[in-house]
Formats: sequence, structure tokens, C-alpha cells
Amino acid sequence: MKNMENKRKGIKSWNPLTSLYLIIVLAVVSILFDFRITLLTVALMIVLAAVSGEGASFTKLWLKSLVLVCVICFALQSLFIPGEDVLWSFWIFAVKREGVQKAVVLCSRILGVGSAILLGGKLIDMKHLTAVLEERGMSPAATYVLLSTANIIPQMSKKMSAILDAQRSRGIETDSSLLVRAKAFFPSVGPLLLNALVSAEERAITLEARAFSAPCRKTKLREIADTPRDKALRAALISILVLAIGGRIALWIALK
Amino acid sequence: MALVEVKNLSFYYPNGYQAVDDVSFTIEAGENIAIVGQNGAGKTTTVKMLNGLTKPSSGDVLINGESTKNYTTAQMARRVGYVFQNPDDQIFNATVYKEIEYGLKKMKVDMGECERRIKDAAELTGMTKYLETNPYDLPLSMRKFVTIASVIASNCDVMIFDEPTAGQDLDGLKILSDLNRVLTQRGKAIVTITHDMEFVADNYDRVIVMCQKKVIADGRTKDVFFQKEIMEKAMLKQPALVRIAMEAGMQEKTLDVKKLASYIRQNSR
Repeated sequence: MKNMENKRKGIKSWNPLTSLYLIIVLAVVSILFDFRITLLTVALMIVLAAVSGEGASFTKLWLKSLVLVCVICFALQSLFIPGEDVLWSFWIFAVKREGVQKAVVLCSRILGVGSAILLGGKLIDMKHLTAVLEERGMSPAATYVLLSTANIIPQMSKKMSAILDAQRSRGIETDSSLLVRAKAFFPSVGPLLLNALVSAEERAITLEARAFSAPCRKTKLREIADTPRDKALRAALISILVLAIGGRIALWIALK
Repeated sequence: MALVEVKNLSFYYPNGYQAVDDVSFTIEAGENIAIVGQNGAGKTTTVKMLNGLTKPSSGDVLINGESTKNYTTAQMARRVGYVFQNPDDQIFNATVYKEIEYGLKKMKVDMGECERRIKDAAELTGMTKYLETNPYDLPLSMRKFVTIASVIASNCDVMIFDEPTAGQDLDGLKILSDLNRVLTQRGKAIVTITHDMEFVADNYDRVIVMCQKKVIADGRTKDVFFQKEIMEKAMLKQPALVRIAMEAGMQEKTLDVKKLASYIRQNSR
């Protein structure tokens, strides 16, 4: 276990609570100020992912999900929000300055918070984080909900892939036009939901069989180091957060 | 021309891990074949290439002389049926009847033929009295027979069963054994992945042994099971009957309990 911990690079070697603080600070800072600060924060997140050995996977995920969402949001907002100042027009479409301004604000927020969440997913080991949170007094039921929520997407996508294979094997097309995919919706989602219900019941029984709610002290299988460096980092991150919020309030008062 | 021709199949995952290495074999109509081997030997990946679920990195699979590469898995479903390990990945209809009927409707089979096939598949799998039952009210071992019935009803030439014996009691094993026999008599090719060597010894004419992504033995079940070194290499346990026959010094290779018992009786006098 110790060797495995030592192999973790960059932020992955931090105590998960410290990493969580970092993610919160990055998310808050990215939405407090204007889009230039957001872009800087996002650039910093890419660098942090790279030094932690997750640069390629983070950037790929970021491009596939957030950038796509932002492009769509930007196009919709800039084209359809009413305004007087038309910057560019074609046929029935017109890009208005007011729309662009609102789109920049919305997209920078999506980009900032979304990137921080994606980075957290890449850098924080949820098992370690829930162990630390439990150590600090969070109830096991709450940490279980947290952990199972974090695991639900990868588990469901794995399950969905098995279900799609099974349905394709019985003659249901799943990879064609939108109409064909729509027809495959019920055969795909039906087993997924039924499986989820069955496995939820089984998981509850398994948890009880493993004394999940037994009113006694639990044995810990994992000791997660909380080094002086982690403590110093957390103090620094809290300071940055307080300074950022304070700075934003001061700026708001000054501009008022 | 063989019903199924597997030619020099290899498969690599996108991360570069090789799951199947240069696998070749043929299957004739009416043959029943067991593919055995350790977990990770490449059995499931190989059979997933038979219906196009996985596209080979190199090599080819021909069904009745036509490459699976030219068809989608859904199109291949008319020729190659696949019963997955977990029946719950497939079942979503409210009754067993509707579940079996669903694939037939997709294939646009006419009503009369549809009913005939459902009745036949239900009889073969012991599902006749459960046709109006919700599949989720049945135990897992019986839900497996629901998925087997839907593949039988689709009347494919090749039927692949992935771990059909898992969780089955004696009744279930007997149904599997009987339907294996009936389907091969009807000219269907049955390919079964299993870890149950006793079941293979009792029910299969031919065995393909896979080890470390390759086929290391392919032949008559009794010939393969009596090769101790092959079985050990594949980390497989020889069936009790074979071990007893070998310990007793029996020269003839047999999977027949009566023959073995008679040999032991004769030699113990």
C-alpha cells in the first residue's frame, strides 16, 4: 500500500482533503471574477492535471464534454438573446452584443466549475476521500452515498455497454440514425433500470451482512497520511479563498 | 464449406492489450463445441467475434462463407445467436412470452410462425408454464432459460452460450443437456463457453482449449480430456471419470461411466 501511495504523482500524492480544498478554491475563484481569470484558472487546472500524470486524459475529457457544451451554449445565447447591437447577421440569425456578453459570462462559469469538477474526478481518489471524511466525523451513511454517487456513472456506462451488446446480439440496431437509436431506447434503458433496482436491493443486504449499520467502532483498512505539508497547503488554500471572496466584495463595492 | 470459419483471428484492445492471438478453427452444422480455458484465456473475446460484437484486429470470421465484417451485429443476429452470462442485461419485457417474441418481431417473423417458434422454444427450455410470468419473478437460473429461449426462437444457424451452467441445479443441467442434443439434431451449431468440465464430458463432441489467448488443443472431447499436460497447461481439472480411468491404467479413452465401471470390475478380480 505504501509503495502504491509513493507512486502517486503531483496532486495525487496529496491528502485527498487537501486536493478537495484545491478543487473548491479553483471552482470558486473561476466564477468570482471575469472570464480572463476563468481562462487563467482553467489553464492552471490543465497544468495541474499534467504534473499529476493526467494531462492527456483530462484534456481529452475536457474537450469532449465541457468545450462542446460551451460552444453550444455560446451559439444559442449569442444568437437568440434579444439585443439592439447586432455584430453579425445571416438570414434569420443575428449575433447581438448583449447575447455575446451573457454567453461569455455563462460559458466562463460552466467552464470554470465544470473543469474543477472534472479535475477533481481525475485527481481525487473517492475511496481515500470518503475514508478521510469519515475519520473527521462524517457519518458512514453519508460517505457511502458520496462514494456510490461518484461510482454510479462509470458503473452505469460499463453496464450500459454490456446491455447494448446483449440487445445488438438479438437484432436491435443501436448505432444508426437518430430514429433507430430512439427505437433502441426502451430495450437499452429498461434492463439498466431493472438492474439498478435489483442491485440496489442486493447491495443493501450485502451492506447489512457486513455490519454496515452495527453500532460499534469500525476497523479502518486504510491509513491516509496527513503530512505537515498538507496542513500548510490547506491553510494557504483557505487564505486564498478568503482573499478571493474578500477581493470580489471589495471590487463590487468599489464599482458600485 | 464449413458453417463457421475462423481464420487467424487476433484482437487487441485500444490500450494495446492482446486478448486473442492467431486463433483458427472451423465449425460444421450440427456440431456442438465447448470452448474451455482459464479466465482471461480469450474465450469470450473469440466468440464475440463470431457475431461481430467485437471486430477482429486481424483475421476473419466467415459464416456460410460471408465475412462478419460486412454486417452489423444486429444483422448477424439472424445467423448467430448469443446468450450472455447475465440474463438481466437482455430482459426488459413484462412477460416471458413478450421477451421471447421481441426478437422475432424485430426480424419481422409472421404471427403464426412466431407463435410456433415461441411454443417450441418454451418447451425446449421448460418455460411453457411461465410464459405469462414476469421474468423478474423467476430466479436467475430460470431467467437464463428465458434468454436461451429467445435465441432458440430466432432459429439461428449458430448459437453461442456463455456459461449456461452457472447457477443451474440438476433440473437445469438436464434441460441444457436435452436442448443441446435437440438443437444439434436440427443441424444447429452450438458453441458453449464453460468451466464445467463434467458437463462438457457428458454433452460435447468436441472441445477447444484456449490458453494465454491461443488455441492449444482442438479435438474430440475424450482425446483432449485424456491429455493431462494440455489440461494442466490450461489450468483445467480433468473430469473425475478421466482421472479415475487414468489412475486405473485404462488404455481406452472413454467418457462412458459404464465402460469404466466394467473395466474396474474386470481388473479388480
